[in-house]
Amino acid sequence: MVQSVIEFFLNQFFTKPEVLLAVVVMIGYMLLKRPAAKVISGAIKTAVGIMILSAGAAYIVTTFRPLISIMQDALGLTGVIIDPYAGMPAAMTALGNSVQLVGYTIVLGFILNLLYVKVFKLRAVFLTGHIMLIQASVMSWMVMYLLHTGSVNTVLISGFILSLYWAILPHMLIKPTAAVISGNKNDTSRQDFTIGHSQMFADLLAYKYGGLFGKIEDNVEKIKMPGWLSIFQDNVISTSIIMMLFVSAFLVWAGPAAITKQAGGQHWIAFMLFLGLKFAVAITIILTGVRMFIGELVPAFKGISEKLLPGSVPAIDVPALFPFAPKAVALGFMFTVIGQVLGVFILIIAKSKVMIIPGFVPMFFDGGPVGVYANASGGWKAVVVCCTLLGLTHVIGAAIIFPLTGLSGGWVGNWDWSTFLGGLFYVMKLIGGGI
Amino acid sequence: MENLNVICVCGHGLGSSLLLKIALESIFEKLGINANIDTRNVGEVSGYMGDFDLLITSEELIKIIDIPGNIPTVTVKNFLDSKEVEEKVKQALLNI
Repeated sequence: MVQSVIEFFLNQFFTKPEVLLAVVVMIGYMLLKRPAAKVISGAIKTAVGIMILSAGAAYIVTTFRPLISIMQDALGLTGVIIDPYAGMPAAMTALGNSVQLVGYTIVLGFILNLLYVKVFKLRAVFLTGHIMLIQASVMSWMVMYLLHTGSVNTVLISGFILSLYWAILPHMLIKPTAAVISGNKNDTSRQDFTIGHSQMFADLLAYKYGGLFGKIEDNVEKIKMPGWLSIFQDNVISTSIIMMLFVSAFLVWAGPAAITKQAGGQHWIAFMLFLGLKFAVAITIILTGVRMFIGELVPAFKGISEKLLPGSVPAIDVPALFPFAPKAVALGFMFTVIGQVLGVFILIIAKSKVMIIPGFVPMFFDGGPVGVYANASGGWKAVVVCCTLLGLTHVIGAAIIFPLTGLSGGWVGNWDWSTFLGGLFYVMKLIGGGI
Repeated sequence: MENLNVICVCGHGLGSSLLLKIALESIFEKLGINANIDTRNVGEVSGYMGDFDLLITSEELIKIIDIPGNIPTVTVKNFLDSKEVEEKVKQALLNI
């Protein structure tokens, strides 16, 4: 009798990430002595947020399926959208029932991060909740797929690897970030925050080597930028424009006949344009869910880390940098787009079987900070060079890594995950026994 | 004490505005004000225009949000600089 009650709870509730993370939030708020109303509302919003996110993820996977089929049948190409909101759903779908492990991976990664700060005197605590979710989904899948691990080992290994990434890279970005805040490489006193995201290796490289391409005195902020670039701050608009453009380009190449086969009676031009817009719909739904759940998870985590480790430096989302060098963000974004388009042309000329469909997030959320750090070391010329290289390697790196991943339709796309971490995945594949 | 409805706006609606919300919760607690704080992204905030008393965002984003004339706004440079945020909020509250 007792056993079946326990089984009931385990199988019906604790296998769901929305329950696990809701419980984590409840524990977090109780440790912080928040009122009962807050504890309960926090748990509900966490669970509902994750369920909304799952609905959005399912929708985006059904949306990109026809695009991938058309590219396969008409062009013989394996299409891959490089955007974390395509990559995370792809990884979650591949995980199937094991998606419950993602919650445990996040918690383990966070606890270990706190431990390293306490014991090894590292100083950064990774708090960018939605990024933790994306990375935990992808890493849990890659570990399980490449190393053939069971549930417990998947969580232990993914959580451990992520904890190192979350503790060490942002720690290394503390001084570069302080230099951006103060506007002066010699003044690294403003250590209010550091960056916790998915292109931290690229940020470090841009900051270290930006000076090779230009002079700090040629600061981008002195240049006049066109006003219309500001519409890209709104991600519903940006995603719609970018996806409609790139999806249409590939579909037109595949040909009206191929599109019509999938269009179910709709005219191919209408089908094509609406498909681009559907991505914006899916991503908006995903972000609504993500926003709701991290609105509870991040305050809980931040409260805990401030209580246990006062004086630690929060590693947060890249937009926190943008007010300090807005033109560097815009210029960085522009040249990352150019770099990605060049990368696609190179793939076409090289007759690559894997074809990358550029996505908005790496262009803006990698291109932006890399532009800022490059500018801090080498002015606008550094931004131009570093971000063009960034875009090129976004595309070519993803094309090289994708066959390793066992996924369909999307890859997270942020720089580190198509380069350095790609190298790690290759090593994992060798260890797991299969090349 | 009436509820003050505050809205924090950032590009995505889940990164910077969330940190701002966390900072604001402790500032309003210190000031003894009952505040209801929501985070929104730039794209959707126009749908909520009637619902709040104070809007807080970054100096960049204020340029692309359409705000009907009489809603008090606070623009912040460094979302994590609690002193800057507190100063500017206190000033804006004087006008409400």
